[in-house]
Amino acid sequence: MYSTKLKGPRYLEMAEGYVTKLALDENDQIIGYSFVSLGKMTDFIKKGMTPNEAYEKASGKYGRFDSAVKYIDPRKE
Amino acid sequence: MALFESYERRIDKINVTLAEYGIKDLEECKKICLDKGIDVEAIVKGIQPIAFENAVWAYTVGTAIAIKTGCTKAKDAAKKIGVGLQSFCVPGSVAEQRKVGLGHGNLASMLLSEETKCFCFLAGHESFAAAEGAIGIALKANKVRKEPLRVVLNGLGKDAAFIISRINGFTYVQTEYDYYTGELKVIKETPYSDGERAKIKCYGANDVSEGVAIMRHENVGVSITGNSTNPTRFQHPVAGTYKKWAIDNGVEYFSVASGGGTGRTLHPDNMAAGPASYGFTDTLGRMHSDAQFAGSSSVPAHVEMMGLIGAGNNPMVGMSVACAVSVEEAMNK
Repeated sequence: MYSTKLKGPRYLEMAEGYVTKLALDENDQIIGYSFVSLGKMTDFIKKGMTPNEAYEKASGKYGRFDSAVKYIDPRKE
Repeated sequence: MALFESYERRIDKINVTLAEYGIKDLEECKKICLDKGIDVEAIVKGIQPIAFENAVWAYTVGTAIAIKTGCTKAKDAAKKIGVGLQSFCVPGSVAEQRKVGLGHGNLASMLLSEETKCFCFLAGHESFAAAEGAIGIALKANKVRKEPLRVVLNGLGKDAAFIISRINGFTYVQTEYDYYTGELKVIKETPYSDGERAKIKCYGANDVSEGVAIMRHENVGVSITGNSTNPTRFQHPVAGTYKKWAIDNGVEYFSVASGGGTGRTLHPDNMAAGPASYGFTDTLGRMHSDAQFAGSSSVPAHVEMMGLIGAGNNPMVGMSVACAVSVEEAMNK
């Protein structure tokens, strides 16, 4: 988790894994995020799964991700 | 093979209880339930499929006692179910000592009683995610209640309450406590979704006094304390203080201390008392609670280990409520 006064908080990594997207409501407040669990993904690849498939399978969502007004990449926006 | 887990350690005590209610044996219990059209096994395993056999039998005994004593109201049946659960507690175990069986029965009875208006989760905010399952169970009780049960969350920290509400879609209630007059002001209420979840109000308190003021503001009738974050700084002191106020003012308040084994060790900064701090949350729970659970909120084996039955504490609340509701339905046919 990282935050500046200028841009507000950005969740980069949480207990569930590497944060890929932040979900924002109409007031631009964080209401959820999507993540990929690096441990699980690595295990899948080790077992011979293709990286893309493993990435999909190790991904998940937290909070009200689906009811967001917009999504941002916490590292770029 | 024995009928259920730890049969030898339990059966003598169970038979004593059965004799008190004029029931011959476990098989007769099963027959009493089935004659009334109540399939206890289906109810118990339907709620937690991994529950042990002894959970099924404990609920069978409780339900049979409820039927035998002629309970027609779900809230009375729940208390008798508690008697059945208590008979399954292994002598000398933590569960036996804390009377967890009777506690479960009484909690279910309170949730089903119309006099209880508000059910509060008193917790460190981190455990609110885990409390969600239990919220669902509480809402189940609404099926037989005339007036729906209100559910609120009360925890330490306004920022935490705000974030939790926003992410989970609860309604955040921002309050301000006037330390000079002891008055609680509601500044704003913001619902973060428009479904069932928005009916759950989430409060954040700055300290114990504000926490107690929130309890009074919501007229809380039943509360469960979490045991994970800030137990000694917030939830147990709030429950205890509110309990004292409730007794002084003739308000009905049933406090449940949940979670934990024989006692949880606290954070390093709470460890000043040395070995005496071990099990301190257990001590606090004993000071204010009407019912104290033992063992995990979800893992059957851990609750079994504490000497009760093989079912998680939260699913058990659901089982007690469900069995009690079916007794009411069957007896009024």
